[in-house]
Amino acid sequence: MSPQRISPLCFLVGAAAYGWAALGLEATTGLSSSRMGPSAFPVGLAIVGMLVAAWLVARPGADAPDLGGDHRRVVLIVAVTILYAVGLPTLGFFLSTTLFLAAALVTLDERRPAFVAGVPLGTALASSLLLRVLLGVWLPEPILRWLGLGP
Amino acid sequence: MIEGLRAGLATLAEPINLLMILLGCGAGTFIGMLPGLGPITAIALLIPLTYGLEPASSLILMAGVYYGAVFGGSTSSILLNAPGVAGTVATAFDGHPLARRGHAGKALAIAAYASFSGGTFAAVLLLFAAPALASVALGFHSPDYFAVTVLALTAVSAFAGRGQLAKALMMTLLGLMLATVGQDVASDVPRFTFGSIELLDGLSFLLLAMATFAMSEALIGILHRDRRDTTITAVEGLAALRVSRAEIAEVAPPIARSSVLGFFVGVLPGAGATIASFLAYAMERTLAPLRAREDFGKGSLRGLAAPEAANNAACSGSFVPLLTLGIPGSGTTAVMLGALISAGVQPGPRLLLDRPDVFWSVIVSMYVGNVVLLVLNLPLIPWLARLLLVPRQVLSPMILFFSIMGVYAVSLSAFDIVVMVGIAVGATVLRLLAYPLPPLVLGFVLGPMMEENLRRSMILYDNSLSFLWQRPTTLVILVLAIMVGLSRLRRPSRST
Repeated sequence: MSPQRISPLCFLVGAAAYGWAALGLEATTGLSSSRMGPSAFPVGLAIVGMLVAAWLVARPGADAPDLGGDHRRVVLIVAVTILYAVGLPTLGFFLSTTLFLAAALVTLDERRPAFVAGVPLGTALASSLLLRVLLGVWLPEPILRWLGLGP
Repeated sequence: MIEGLRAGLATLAEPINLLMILLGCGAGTFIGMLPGLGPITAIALLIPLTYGLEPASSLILMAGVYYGAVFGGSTSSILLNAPGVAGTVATAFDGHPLARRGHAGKALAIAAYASFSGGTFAAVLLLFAAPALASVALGFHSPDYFAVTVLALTAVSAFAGRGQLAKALMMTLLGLMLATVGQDVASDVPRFTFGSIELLDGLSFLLLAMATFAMSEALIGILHRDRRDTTITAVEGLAALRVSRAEIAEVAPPIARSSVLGFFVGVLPGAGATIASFLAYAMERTLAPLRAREDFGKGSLRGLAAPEAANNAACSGSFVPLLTLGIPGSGTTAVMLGALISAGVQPGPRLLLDRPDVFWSVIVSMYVGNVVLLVLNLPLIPWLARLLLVPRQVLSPMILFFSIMGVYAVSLSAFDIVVMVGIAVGATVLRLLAYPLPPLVLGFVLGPMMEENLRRSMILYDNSLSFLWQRPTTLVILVLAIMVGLSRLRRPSRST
């Protein structure tokens, strides 16, 4: 089956699941007696969504999908970004940002050591100062604080 | 009015107020340029600064930050496809393709001229029509707002090429569905949260915009980094700031039309710059000759100028309900309202009588602020445009980082970033499968407003849909929406 048909099929299944979940919603207030409870709008969306998805399955259009490219590197970057998100609360903003940018640069074939070290460090430092000092945003820095270097 | 203008000019001429305009426009532009940080964040962060100021000075400062941030937001939209402000999403549709073709300077200059024109035009309208418009806006009820959202949704057809209308519709529905995630406002019932506390507040617009535009742009750049068309080798210098007569003739009518549209949409509480910019884009695409319409989405000057003029005009328009009725027309003006009340000024019908200095100085400062923005930003354009010369292997991680930083600085939630990465991957796949993403964002923005007003109308009209034809205003707007939809079906464009 062509990708042009697989994607609307996914939408069809997704809209049906969304509608099913919406039917399970129950109002806990007086609005439950109204036709417009918390599930009405989502159920309407699910019905229209299934109709449009079914139309797309039948007539997927002539746009050729452009799925080629360096998939391995995209998967690596996505993995590095998720690790960055997971590491933020534990490592803190400064350290995790430095490590994320360095890892992303290396993943994208940047090999100059000074560049791979300098750009992430400079960016992490500048953004920390901008957020913390200029904009007054609190950022978690557990490791720097433990080392006696952080606020 | 002449007396008021004199009072406004006198207040504005005070050195502290001139300084506030400069500071507000400068800070707003800078913060708006950073992907992810918008005017609400900027104004909220500046509130402590306003405590020691006169009310007029603090409102002038906040207004400067507001339109400065919208102005600056267009820069990151055009250069990085990373709209940090909802009102500049539509700017990216044609601004970014122009930049990718090596005309970043031209795109930024046209955006600056359009913003200036839209802002100035709206300031003049505000001057003459503010009190009268306030009463019109007050006459809008829930059914009318529902009709406005339906009209705004017809804008999705502007993003659909031949055979793409169903895809655009599918994306709109996906956006509307994503907007229902979180605690239901009317009944407090959690919807589609899967038991997660983090999802109770729903998905933020910033998260969705950054994931669908900026992060997916970075991921596609990485996926296709070996292709020659993704590499920019040169950008224009100061020469790009010159706009030819032909270009002026091309963009002047869209700017004029979009300024008027943007201002009136901005006056409606809750509508704001986002709806104005989408509607202006759709209107200009519908009105454009067939050949010019084919350029929309690929770097059309009309497609860039229209939303830029509309979003700045809408910013000025949103001050009408704030100043004359005390009703904030947008999230940003709601923050301003809070700051003003804490300073002892109650915006509303009596503001014009009790504090004419505040009322008129803000209106005059809008005009001066637009001049300041143009003077501040034009010389920077060639330097900003050079950002595109940064190699892809450096720019892509930076786009990912700044997108994450913008969301994390607001929410401090690692969960949000994981959700953001998931949405970015999904958006990348959808883009590769030729699904247009702007309708998804439009659906997400309009969803809550549409559902809330539909529910309220149904309750007001005893669970009946009769509000659709009983209120003349609602009926007129709905007929307009049907006409726009039908005209699109009858005259499909060739591509997007």
